[in-house]
Amino acid sequence: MKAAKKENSLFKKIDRHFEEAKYKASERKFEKHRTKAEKVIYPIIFVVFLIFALTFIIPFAWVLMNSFKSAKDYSNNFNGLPREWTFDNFIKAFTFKDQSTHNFTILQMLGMSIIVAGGGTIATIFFSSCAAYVVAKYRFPGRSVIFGVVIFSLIVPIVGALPSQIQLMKTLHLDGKIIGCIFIYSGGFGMNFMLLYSFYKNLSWTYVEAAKIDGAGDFKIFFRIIMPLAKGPIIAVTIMQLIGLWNDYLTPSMFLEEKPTLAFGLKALSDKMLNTGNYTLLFATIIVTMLPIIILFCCFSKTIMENTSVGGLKG
Amino acid sequence: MQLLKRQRINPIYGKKKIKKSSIFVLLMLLYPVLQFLIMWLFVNINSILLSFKTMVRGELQFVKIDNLFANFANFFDSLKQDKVKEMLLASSAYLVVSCFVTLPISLIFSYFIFKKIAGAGFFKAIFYLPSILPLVVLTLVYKLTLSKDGLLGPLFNSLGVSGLFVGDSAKWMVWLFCIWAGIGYDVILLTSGMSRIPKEILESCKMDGIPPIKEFIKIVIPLTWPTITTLFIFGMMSVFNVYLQPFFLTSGQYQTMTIGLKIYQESGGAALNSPATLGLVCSLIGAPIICSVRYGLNKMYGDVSF
Repeated sequence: MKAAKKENSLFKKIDRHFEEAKYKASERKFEKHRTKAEKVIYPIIFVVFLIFALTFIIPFAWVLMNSFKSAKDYSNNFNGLPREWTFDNFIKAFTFKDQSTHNFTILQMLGMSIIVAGGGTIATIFFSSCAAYVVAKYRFPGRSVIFGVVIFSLIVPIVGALPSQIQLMKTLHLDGKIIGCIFIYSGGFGMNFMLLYSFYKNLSWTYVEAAKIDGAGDFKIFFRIIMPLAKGPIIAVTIMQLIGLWNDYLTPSMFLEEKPTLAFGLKALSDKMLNTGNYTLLFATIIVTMLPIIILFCCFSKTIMENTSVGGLKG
Repeated sequence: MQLLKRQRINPIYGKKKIKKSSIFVLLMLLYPVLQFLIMWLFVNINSILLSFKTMVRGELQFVKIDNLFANFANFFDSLKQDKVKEMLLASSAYLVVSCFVTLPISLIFSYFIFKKIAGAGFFKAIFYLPSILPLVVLTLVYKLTLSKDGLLGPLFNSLGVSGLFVGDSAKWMVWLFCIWAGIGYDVILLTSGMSRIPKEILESCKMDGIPPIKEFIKIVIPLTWPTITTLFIFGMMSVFNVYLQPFFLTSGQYQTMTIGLKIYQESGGAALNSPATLGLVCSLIGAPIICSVRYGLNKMYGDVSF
């Protein structure tokens, strides 16, 4: 009897599975079904997209290809494949020094980028998370004032705060220091605050209530329960923030001129290489500079693209 | 902090607990609030104060009371200069570039990516790449591709075109770059906005045999309106924000100087009153306009809530 019942339920499961597959297939078929107009427009748009995509792919492929050429090979044949593939440009790119970057090599600039962008990212994400959690989940006097001011600072466009910022950094003796840069980046009330605030606002309070009954304090709850629960959104905003700070040119160029990061140093290096006509070295330098971001993008492309979605925020 | 209470009231909470929570809230907010007060409030107040200062023997000092608005008067006087007029015109051009060229193109691109055209995922990733690469790299590759020693050099040489980044063509090249590099970011935001449109609405459109253009105009645009509004506002802000593109591509020469680049370049000097005044005037003019446009755009399709 039991065996027959088991068999029956197995058949039911298989049936359900087939039904679901059938439904999904019909849904896909419906989605893929194109009207006459669509059948005409789609191939045209596909060609437009392809051409547009090629405008990105071909220049970078050309830079990559030429980075494997010797200077002589490039001057004789700058659009063809390398006659002799060489890694010399990459070796030189890692050791190239110039006064315009205060004799910082690419590797040293990479180190600076890791410290400045990494430090800034950790600081801003941590403080944004602290502020967003408290404002979202606790009631205290001034809470609505804080929230209102943050919204105001995000909505109202303010132009030209840079001169004042420079004066302030000089007054605080933070000009030219790594910690100064990290201090500028470490704000807890930017866009990250808004994204984390909306996450914390919708977070269930059940775990916290259970932890409180067990006698856990506020700090323990935040670090042991809330932070692990917010791991997903925190990772997403961390990656986005890291890319933003890694590519930042303004802050290092104004406040860290003597210790250039990659984004800032590359401009000085490229000017020097273009002036001396050292194109192949420049190509290799560009590739080396791009590499960390490309690797990050390949690893987290889905996270990055899914989280570039501030567009839904209504003012 | 005396009135501090849990959002979800917990019966086991006594006065001691509430005091502990006050300390927790205080400590959690201490650094973010301090940083905000210094880097936003103080910086902006100081920015206003700077516009009432002038250089006296190499030092910034407050202007005399009888000449309180000297910096503003100097700025409005400078508007008669051709270079300043060019700068304002070049900056205003980014409104057209961002809001009326890049945004409509991005909307069309996004619609077809959203409709899952063949290779949509691949195109989305490729279009997005410029948004994550350092701007220095992008401008370098763009410039190298279009220079006479670059990828398209032989083509331009055969056409008799030389030096696209000098002379009259320079500003067109900067605008073209902004469109080329800007589409990807807009596409990502718009497709993410479109993905929130309920599937049922689109399915019923399809069953009713509504053509793609009608669906795009009557359904997709209204239902993606909050994202479009945000991008339009970003585009308006580019009038004041664009500075690195002309800086990297033309160093602000050949009528490509913008308000943002002027502030950036002058901030490197000692006379910080001049860029601060320019910034303040732009904020005073730009902020109400941008906020009004945002209000108006939000009103257009106010009931979109997903």
